[in-house]
Amino acid sequence: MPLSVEDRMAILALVTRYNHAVDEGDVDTRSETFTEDGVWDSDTAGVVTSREAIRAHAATRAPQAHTKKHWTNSPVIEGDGDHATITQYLWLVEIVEPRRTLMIGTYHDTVRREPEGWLFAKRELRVHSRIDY
Amino acid sequence: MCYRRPAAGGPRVSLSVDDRLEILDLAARYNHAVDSGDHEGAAALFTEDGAIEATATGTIAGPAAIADYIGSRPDGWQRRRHFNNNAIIEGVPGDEDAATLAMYIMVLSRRETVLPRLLGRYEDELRRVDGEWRFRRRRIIADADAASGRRAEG
Repeated sequence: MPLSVEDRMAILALVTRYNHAVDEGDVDTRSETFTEDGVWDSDTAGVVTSREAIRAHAATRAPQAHTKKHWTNSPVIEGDGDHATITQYLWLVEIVEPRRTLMIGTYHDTVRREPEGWLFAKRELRVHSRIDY
Repeated sequence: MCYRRPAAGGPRVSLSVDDRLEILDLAARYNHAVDSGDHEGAAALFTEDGAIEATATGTIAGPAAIADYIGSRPDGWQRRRHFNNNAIIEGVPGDEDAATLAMYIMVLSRRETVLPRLLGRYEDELRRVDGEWRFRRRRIIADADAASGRRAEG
């Protein structure tokens, strides 16, 4: 069954929820965008497996909240039934002085339909360029 | 043939939600193709008579010329990321297989990580061929304040 318009909108809303949560330091919402067995695999944090481990990791990053914004763009969504992939860009920009581009990267996401809606089963973040921050 | 975008307040033709999503998808696929150096893939998103039009380069017409144009600087393209925003998608009166897309573009360079390399906008004419939306004409207009010393490379 191809993805419906509702599915595509829900998947985009999941991405938006994640971006707002991470930028606001909302540890619970950020970790709850993942399935219980979700995997966060980034070039900056390594591989973090399970929602609980992601919650603990997110808590260590929460003090940096309110200094950055995650801009995602150009999502290509493919899938059917209860599984989909999203490939999209990330522009991570510092919103406090000195207001810089911190990172440009690409998310390769796998999402799954769960009883509570579409959630990340795996997020991979590959960094193309970044500065030390 | 050149499609004129309706004036503000003038008649507008609504496209279906499916068409609008497919057109946004087309724009995203273009970005991913050019940024990963897949110039053949990017050219395949144009109609057979499709063209790119940019201030610095003039008109580049046909998939082969488009592929050559995008492939002519593979190192440069692969260091960039094309971001889009503020898409306005409209139908064309009397032609259900035509649409226009007006959209902002920001090109980030992977080397120069401080400022966007290009800010501007696309004015695209789209055509549905065998059920798939394609670019018929992609016009790239660099914003004046970002254009100094920069080529408008879409």
